[in-house]
Amino acid sequence: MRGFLYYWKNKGRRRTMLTAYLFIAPVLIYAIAFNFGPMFASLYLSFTRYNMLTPPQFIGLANYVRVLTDDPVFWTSLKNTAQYALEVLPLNIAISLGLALLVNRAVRGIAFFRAVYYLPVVTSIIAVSMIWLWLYDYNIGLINLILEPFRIGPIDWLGDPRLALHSLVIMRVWKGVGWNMVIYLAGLQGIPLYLYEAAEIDGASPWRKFLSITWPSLRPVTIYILIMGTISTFQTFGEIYAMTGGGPLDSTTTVGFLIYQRAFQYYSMGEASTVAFILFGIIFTLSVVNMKFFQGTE
Amino acid sequence: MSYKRHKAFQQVVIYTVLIAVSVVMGAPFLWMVLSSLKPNHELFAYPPVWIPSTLTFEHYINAFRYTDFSRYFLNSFIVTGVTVISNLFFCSLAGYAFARMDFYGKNVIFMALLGTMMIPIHVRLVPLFISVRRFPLAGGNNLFGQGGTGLIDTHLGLMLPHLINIFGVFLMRQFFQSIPQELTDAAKIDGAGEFGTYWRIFLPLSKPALATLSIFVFSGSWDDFLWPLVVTSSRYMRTVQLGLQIFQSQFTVNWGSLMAATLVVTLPVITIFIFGQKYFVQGIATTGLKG
Amino acid sequence: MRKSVVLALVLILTLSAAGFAQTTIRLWFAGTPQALMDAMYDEMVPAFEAANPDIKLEVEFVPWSELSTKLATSFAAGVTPDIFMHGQAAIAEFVESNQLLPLDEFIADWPDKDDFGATLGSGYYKDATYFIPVFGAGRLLIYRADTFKEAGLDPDNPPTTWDELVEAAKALTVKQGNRFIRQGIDFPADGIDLQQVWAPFLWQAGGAFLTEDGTQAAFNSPEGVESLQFMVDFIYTHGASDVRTAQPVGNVSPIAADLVGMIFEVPGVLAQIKTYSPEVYPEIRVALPTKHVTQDTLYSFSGFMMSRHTVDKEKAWRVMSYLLSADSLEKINQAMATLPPRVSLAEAEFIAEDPNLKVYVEAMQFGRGNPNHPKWVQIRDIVSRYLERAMRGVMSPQEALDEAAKEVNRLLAE
Repeated sequence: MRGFLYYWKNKGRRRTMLTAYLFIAPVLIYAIAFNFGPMFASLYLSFTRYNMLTPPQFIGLANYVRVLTDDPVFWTSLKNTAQYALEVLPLNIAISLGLALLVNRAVRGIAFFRAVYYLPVVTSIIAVSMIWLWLYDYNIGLINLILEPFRIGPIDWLGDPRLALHSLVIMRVWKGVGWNMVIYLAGLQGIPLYLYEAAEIDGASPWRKFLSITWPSLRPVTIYILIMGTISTFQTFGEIYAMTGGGPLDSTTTVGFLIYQRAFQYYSMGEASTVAFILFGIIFTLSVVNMKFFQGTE
Repeated sequence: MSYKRHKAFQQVVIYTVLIAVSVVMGAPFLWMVLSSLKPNHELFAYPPVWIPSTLTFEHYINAFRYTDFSRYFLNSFIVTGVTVISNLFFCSLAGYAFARMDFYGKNVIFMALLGTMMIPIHVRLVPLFISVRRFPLAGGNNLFGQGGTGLIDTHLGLMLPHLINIFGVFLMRQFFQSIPQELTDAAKIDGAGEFGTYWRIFLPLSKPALATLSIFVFSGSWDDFLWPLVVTSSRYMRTVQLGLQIFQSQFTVNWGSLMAATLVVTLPVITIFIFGQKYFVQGIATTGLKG
Repeated sequence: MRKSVVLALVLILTLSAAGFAQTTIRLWFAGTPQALMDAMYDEMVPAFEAANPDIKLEVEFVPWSELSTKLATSFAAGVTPDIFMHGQAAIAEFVESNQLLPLDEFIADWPDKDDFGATLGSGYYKDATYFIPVFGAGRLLIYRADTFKEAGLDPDNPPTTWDELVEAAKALTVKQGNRFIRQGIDFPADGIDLQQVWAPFLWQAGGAFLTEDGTQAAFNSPEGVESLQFMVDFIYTHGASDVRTAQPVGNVSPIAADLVGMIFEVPGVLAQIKTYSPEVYPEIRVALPTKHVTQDTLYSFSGFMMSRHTVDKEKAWRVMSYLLSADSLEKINQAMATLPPRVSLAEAEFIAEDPNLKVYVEAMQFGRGNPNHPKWVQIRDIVSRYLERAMRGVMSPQEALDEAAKEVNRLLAE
């Protein structure tokens, strides 16, 4: 990284720098008050014992030591979360890009199809969870009903500890692909048409065009989806809370759920903050790796 | 002729796929619509009854008879409207700086901002709530945030955590990064300043991205449940998502009414999407280089 | 002349201003039952305000699922309501954190106190009363007269001992190969529900959750193991219960759908059956707790507490006593299908007309609550996580309870 003086000493660069600071100033000021503020407050709380009813008591690293060395549920939740993210992210990216390519065309009724694919995104997680509880129902669920003629099941989608997490993955992918489709779609719209025109003159196959134009052009968008997906899947909470409560046998206890449980069911906000910052360390590292890896030489 | 046949075949394939995917993505939603129109005894019939024997609007009537949904809608619209406008401007401005301008500390500041999104809401909730309560010179507070209740139970308090979304800054940065350098160079030759380039070149080119951002911010703020729950204390400040709660009691869910109310509550977000997605129809080449 | 008129006017204005200086009392009610919300906003609050013009009453209904979150944030920011509701198990933590006002001074000259009788004890912690019950619930065995007859059992004589419970469960079980058509008896899969169903068996065997002084786990005693083994045996020895817990069919509860022969449920479920399976309701019966060493069963109350930060506790008490009046409690409990804590309300119309609800009221004499301990929620979660392991056959009852006791003791030692 270049030093401050590199920018300051050159009149043009200085001007650009000061303008840029002005551009980001509203975001920065806002973030200091409402993003960094709560974040650092919570960092402080991770070194305390705090039940929200009485003032926090500083206890140094005790929470960290306890969580990392003497808390089997934390490790279980971390393993579950990692597995969940590893299943959700690739599926989500592949399917949403496929959908974006599918609906990126001016055919009659395309607005309708786009809207249908986007529906799950805007339906509240409460409603979605309840519909899927019904779809997955052991007795009368639609999925078991469809499988019955094939002599499969009935399957206990959410009650079997070996299956529950995967069932939640399927639901999350269904709910999430519409959103990433929209981002990919906007990304596709940003690719200049002349690139394709040039490739067509060269007689490139559709697959060739995808590999050499579409995919590389979408790289910034893919980075965005990957990083944002990592951040959100690692914090997954809503459907766990509404559908499985972390069970059966802790098989769907995610870190996000654990944090909620410690904070607002056990009133152990200090410990919840500790878990949150360990999670932060993991997500931050993954995001930096993602950026470096995918950004390549940039 | 064969080209035409090939084209027609292609159309058939595309529509088949489009419809097949619609079934998977839309069936649960269709189920909601049908459930909301079914008499109670058919809601859980087995095997499921897809088409109700008689259409009933009782669930819609029940859902809106007792609750003050018009007030909730008003609150949600106020909060969401301001939030979208604020995000469109501030996120794109900052996103432009991060994508297209060179300045000291750029990556560090950017990563730090992004880092704040990696802390789950449940541990940020209490500090955030305290800062809203201690907001200076509001709700009876003095300059140091003492004495009153700050922004608790106000519209501003409801929108505060949504006014600028760091994900939005990130989103705009990524889109601006993918705009070809030639366009900026052309603008610079014309003598446009940084703000001029942002305002006159980048913003018009970014309609799909801005539409995406609007959709994102709108649904994020509209669908939020936890923050309105914590920050409101009177019935008059409730938002639509809080209104949905009353259909669930400890043991049962008033399924028909919940489906009806959920559909109505979801409509504005779908409308915004349909309205926004029409900006996804033209590529950069037509608006930018040729325009 | 003029002067005196002005003076009189000023006097009147000052007096009336003082008279109409309203104090706002904020109250949070747990749960969002539609019928009660309507009654509260349309009748109860206006009636109270009309009788008490110096008080403005703001009632907010908070969903149970979000109650802790909303309470905790408001405590942290110092904006707690004057009166709020929670389950009795929450008292200990709030008292230890010095958030509650003892209510004894008000109760002392409260004519209604005798009508509450023993239920007032649910709010007693460390030599003071901090909580007054509003509604209660307990889990009793629910069964069906028609299926009892079909299985050759007498619907008027439900099981009274553990052995009879086993026999009834076996008789009610219907299987097709390995698949249950009807489970003889069903136990909850996990969580609070599982703990609540185990608690009566633990007590009936003569066991306890914690030692008397509350410093050690006591549930891994021989009595504890016996009671858990008793439950596990239904699944693995008697073949009368499925390891997979029955789920409601939409809003139709498992017993109404005839998926289970017997199940432990709270009275709210009766209301659910009445609403969604009215044709089944005439067959539904409720049994008193079985007796082993004791006949104890779990009853717990939710009630009002007063915040230590309330500005005008006299006025807050007026609100509280209004909502605790026999009239208000009848409305509240009827709307929620819960058990009123007042003796006089045992004869209330909505109870008198339903023999099943009467059994719940009758069984209240065997009721006891979970331990009053500041860390109870965590203790309960540890216990239920290991109960689940035993019920799923992952651990033996002895192993499961020993592991749970180890974790609980570590927590209690902190």
